[in-house]
Amino acid sequence: MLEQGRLGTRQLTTLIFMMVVGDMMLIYPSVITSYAKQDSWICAFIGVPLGMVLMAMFLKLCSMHPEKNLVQMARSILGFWPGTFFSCFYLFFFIIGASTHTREVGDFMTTQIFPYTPIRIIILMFVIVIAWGVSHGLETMGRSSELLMPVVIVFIVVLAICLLPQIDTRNLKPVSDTGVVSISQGILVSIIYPIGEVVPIMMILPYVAKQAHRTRDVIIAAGLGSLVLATLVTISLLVLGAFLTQHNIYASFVLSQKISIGSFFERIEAIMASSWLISTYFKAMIYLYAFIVGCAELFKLKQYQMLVLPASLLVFGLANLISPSITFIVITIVPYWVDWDTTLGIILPGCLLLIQLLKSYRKSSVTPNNSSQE
Amino acid sequence: MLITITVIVIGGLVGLFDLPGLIRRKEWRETAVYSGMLVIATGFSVIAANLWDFPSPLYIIMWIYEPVNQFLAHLTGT
Repeated sequence: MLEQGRLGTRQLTTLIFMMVVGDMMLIYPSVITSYAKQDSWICAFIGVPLGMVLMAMFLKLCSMHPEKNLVQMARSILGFWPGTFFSCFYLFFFIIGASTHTREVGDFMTTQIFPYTPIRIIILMFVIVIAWGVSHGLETMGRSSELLMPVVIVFIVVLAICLLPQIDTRNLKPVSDTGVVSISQGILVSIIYPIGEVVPIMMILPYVAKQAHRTRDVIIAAGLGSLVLATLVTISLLVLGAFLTQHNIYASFVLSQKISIGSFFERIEAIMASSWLISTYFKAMIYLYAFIVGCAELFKLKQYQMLVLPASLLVFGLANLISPSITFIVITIVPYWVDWDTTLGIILPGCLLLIQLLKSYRKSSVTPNNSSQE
Repeated sequence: MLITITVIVIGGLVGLFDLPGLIRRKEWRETAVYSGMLVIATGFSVIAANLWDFPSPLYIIMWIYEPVNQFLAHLTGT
């Protein structure tokens, strides 16, 4: 087996929470509001249980092959060459995902915080930190996420509570006036953006120690993460209104700039930015780790550690090339990105699960004696 | 030009760091994958560091999903 370290259940749940919240904290309100307008808070809350169902589907698929990661699973379910092709599609998603999150960090920092710094420098610094984390292995990532998760949670709670004086319920009216198509698109986005992008977790699930309540804890973590995101959407709708939420790329950042209690407790947007950076860091790290382990598995290598440096260089290159401008990644690509996420997060794992269930059903119906012995 | 040379030197240093061990242990498959990835990564990084124009890899995704999106839009009437 490639990875020697083992994660505990608590580390796995904190990693999943980080991946659900990470990178979505800033852009999710704007994306979901562009589809469902002032009703997006309803869509976000409907998406919470559906996202938990999706997470349960991932876990069900992994529990059928508890010792195998996604590449091995695809090869043993679909056969060698179709499985290889399937895995290549996923690996492309992983490397593009890692580069996209890096690029988003660069775009955010250069437009909001460091306007005079070239974006390449920020991307280089972020990539160095990611490579440092990945080269220390899976256990280190799990433990550091355990350490840093309270920072993220505390700040989200502070943001939600400090904005309570500024809410205005007139912003939510008229309720359910947006049509069935927009609402269903909003629900799809609310499932696929937070939970569908947790799909690289299937690369690390075989390296998690078997403990009691693992399934329950993971599903609760995913539900909590999307609940936090739904709360953020609701608050940004209540404070900013649908129009401003839709047209601010970084709605949560604007929200934290609006915090002002007694003209004393204000200007805390840098803390918001750092909590977003922490969660995005874990998401990018898991994506890069999934890419590296997947590559090593695809070519049947004996170890994966030596691929960390060239893969980080690849992330640096791709993060700069991936979008010609800031509008490309937040406006032009969004409809296609939703389709791509739907394919990778719902349709393809669903197909794998169906094929696996059919195979095991046929095996048990053809040879009932063997299955009872196993 | 200086930037290009810097990036290529960094790529070479990364190679120097890992490749001798791989070759000494006669892990040829690892060496092939490693060198392929390193060459691609150095090429992309040279383009990126010089800010040359290069088509984004996401155009592949747009090309794949353009018919799907048009069909869905036709179906839902938006």
